[in-house]
Amino acid sequence: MSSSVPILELAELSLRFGGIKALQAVSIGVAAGRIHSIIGPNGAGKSTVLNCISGMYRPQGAIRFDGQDLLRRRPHERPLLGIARTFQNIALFREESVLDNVMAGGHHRLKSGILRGALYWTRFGCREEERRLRDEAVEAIELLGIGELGERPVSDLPFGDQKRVELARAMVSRPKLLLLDEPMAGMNDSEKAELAQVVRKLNREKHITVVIIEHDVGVVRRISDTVTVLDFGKKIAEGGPEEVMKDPAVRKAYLGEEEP
Amino acid sequence: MNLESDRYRSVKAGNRLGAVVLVLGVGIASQFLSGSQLALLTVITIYALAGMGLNLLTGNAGLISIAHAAFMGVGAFSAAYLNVNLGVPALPSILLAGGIAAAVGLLFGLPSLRLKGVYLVMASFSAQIILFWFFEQARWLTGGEDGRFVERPIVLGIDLQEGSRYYLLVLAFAVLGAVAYANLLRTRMGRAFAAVRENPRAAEIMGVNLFRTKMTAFAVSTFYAGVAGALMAWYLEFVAIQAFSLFISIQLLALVIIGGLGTLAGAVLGALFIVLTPELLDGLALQLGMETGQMAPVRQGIFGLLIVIFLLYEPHGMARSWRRLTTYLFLKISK
Repeated sequence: MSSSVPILELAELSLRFGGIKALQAVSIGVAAGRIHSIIGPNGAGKSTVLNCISGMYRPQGAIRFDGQDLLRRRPHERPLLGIARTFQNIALFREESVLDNVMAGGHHRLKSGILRGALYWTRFGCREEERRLRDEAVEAIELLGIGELGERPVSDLPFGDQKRVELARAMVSRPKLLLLDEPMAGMNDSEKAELAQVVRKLNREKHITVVIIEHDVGVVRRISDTVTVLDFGKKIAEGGPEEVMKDPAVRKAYLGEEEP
Repeated sequence: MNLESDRYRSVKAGNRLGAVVLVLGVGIASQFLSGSQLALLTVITIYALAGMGLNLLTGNAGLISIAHAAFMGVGAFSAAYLNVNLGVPALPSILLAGGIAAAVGLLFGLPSLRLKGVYLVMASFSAQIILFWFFEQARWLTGGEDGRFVERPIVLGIDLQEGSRYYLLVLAFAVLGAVAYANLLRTRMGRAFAAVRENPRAAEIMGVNLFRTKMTAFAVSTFYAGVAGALMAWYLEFVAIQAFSLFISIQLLALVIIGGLGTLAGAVLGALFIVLTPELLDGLALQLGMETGQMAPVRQGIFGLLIVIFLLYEPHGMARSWRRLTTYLFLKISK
């Protein structure tokens, strides 16, 4: 919680899919160095917000990140600007090994093209940068407790481990802003606690701003600095986690379903 | 890291050693083979090189092409024209032929930005048709339906008229191509190709520029095809445009699918299969006392059947069986 300068600003985002209003004038500001949760019932528009930030959808309104107008940038430019993400429905390269998947996160940081790749071990080759990236990828999977799975194809792994591979891949891109879409889905309580620790660690030690979508209210309470609540594509509350949970509108729209 | 990965590394080291032994063995053996054996070996090696190129595009980047024989043709006639008509030395001619094929490949790769799967296959089909039509028309370049002669070159002062000498040139290019291919696969661009194949959307979010990556795949792949075509022209000496027909394009695709998509071993094993199977079937038919007229349909039928059986029982190709076998043997020996 180093500062309150917003590193990410969503201003009046609106998006329609046919007749459905997926987002209606949603504005969110995330201060640099914070862990910001987005919560809300299914279909509230949480993933849609992340997809707008990553450039998969083009909403109306404005998205500013670190002084840049994100809506004018192509999706593949995000990692260079310092944005990485994980996906709700896992978007890994299934036939590839865990390490190759994680190393793909370093794509934008490496320079080598066809020639330097083909000349791997020569003086012009890219062996050094490849090795450094590999070491970093190994470090990332070890931090997430899947160090022994490096050579396995990801399609062999259980859902929870695939989620970890996605997070490792995002870490290797060395982001300033990390977008996590339900990273703890399919994990038990102790696994969730471990992963929450990792997210915290990345936030505190590497000063990565985190925007996380999470259903588990306990996790949200523990790790969030700030929380935005969405319902039917509208923002219905925002603030510190305790404050938001007390909000009557939130209890009705969201918590009401879970705490009868 | 751990045991599993140590074992993995030593299997890989074993493969590398095996590859070196194979290349040396083939290089030496080629000097003692009979004319017809050498001819088969040369075609296998050239097809393996073209197969690597197609495998990079189709197996690694996931972009299917049924126009690769036409790209080989572009390389073949470019090299012939450069070397024979314009007097450009052989080695620059080969590389330029690869470059020209890559330029043409880039042009016909453009539709891949919008088209996927079967639609992309159709786009490459039209590339094949257009290029083949051009070969038919451009008599000044190809000799049209009559074909043209291409005299084998003198490379670095060595006359390559002799087939066994010419083979060493072919082998050198195949080895360079194989090394470059293996290196590419384990570095940044190789990962980008896999990312584009497996999940284009996630690839983009990882910072992979889809346009540049697909175009790169087309350029490198058709460069390989062009070089292979150039080598084929000099091997054949009399080049008929039929050597670059749609049928050959589809054979090349069959080569990488049966051999194993996305692997170096796949390109080599696939080339062996595609070239040797019909020969072996012919030999078998002769043994059984069949007449030449009866042989052709039987051979094609059995060849087709073999392909289907392969797809059913080893959909990951011969490279997968080969890896299982070598890993098994390696573990047996190392115990």
